[in-house]
Amino acid sequence: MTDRYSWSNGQEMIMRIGTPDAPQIMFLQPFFEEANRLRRLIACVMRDVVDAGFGAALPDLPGTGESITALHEVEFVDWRAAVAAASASIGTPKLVVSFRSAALIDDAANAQHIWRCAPETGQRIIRDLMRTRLTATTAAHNNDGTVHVAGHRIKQSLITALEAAAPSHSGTVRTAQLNSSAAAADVSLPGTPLWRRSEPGEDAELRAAISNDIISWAKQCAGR
Amino acid sequence: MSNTIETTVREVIRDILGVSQTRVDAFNDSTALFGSLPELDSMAVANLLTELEDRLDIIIDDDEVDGDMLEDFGSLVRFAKAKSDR
Repeated sequence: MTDRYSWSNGQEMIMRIGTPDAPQIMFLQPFFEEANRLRRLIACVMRDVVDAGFGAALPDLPGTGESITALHEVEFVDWRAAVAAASASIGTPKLVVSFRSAALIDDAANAQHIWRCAPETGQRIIRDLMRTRLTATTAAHNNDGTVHVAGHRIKQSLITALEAAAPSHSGTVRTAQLNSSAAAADVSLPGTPLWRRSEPGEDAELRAAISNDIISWAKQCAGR
Repeated sequence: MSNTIETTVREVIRDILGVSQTRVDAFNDSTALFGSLPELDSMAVANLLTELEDRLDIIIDDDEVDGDMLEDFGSLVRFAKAKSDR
């Protein structure tokens, strides 16, 4: 079911599956290209948690997905405001799952428990974007305060805000990392970093590991 | 680290570019990369370098990245080894 939620500057879609009276888990997608690369994985994991008795919600952020807001008009605070509004629109779920750069905004959902897949700092996200300039002329500064980079037109002020952003939280956090990563983690996942693949395809092992860990975490947090 | 750096570079090429294990196993020092490997466009280069940073726990500065370093498999492995030794 596709619903809508209102934030201070507009309305966006929120995809909801599963029964609405079950404990809800809100999923947050990473920014930019990684959202496309992980869309299928996130959709599959959402189905898995619904099969385990939870409800799953996936909001579009302003300037992403079906949003009619242009990405080049979006500020970082808009994404945070939208996450807060999306969360409130489904009754402020206790559980939020964020992938990659969504760790920079997941605290805005005001959930008690957050599950993070390979969280990233804003600085590294921007570094990754800017790196595409090294081998191609994809970055160009426009005179209206926007930048063309890696196929996106975004505000310079969004870049500046992202560069200063780091994951933060007030409740509990469970962090998952791939076992090929050197970063600290509560759980290590087998599989490949689909978020860095141009054509990610599917990774059944990774999907199962993510779904199983989220489901046992969610059951524990929801007291089921 | 149980893996050699060369093995890690092969694994990163396989995982990030989606090049098959068989194909990547056949890479040697003179296997041409940037400009010859169709999977390796500029976005893929960015992802490849970032993943190498993560797995080898190194930092690659922008001004270290040039065509020579990505010319062939041998040059990329030499670069990764030199960075890891530092």
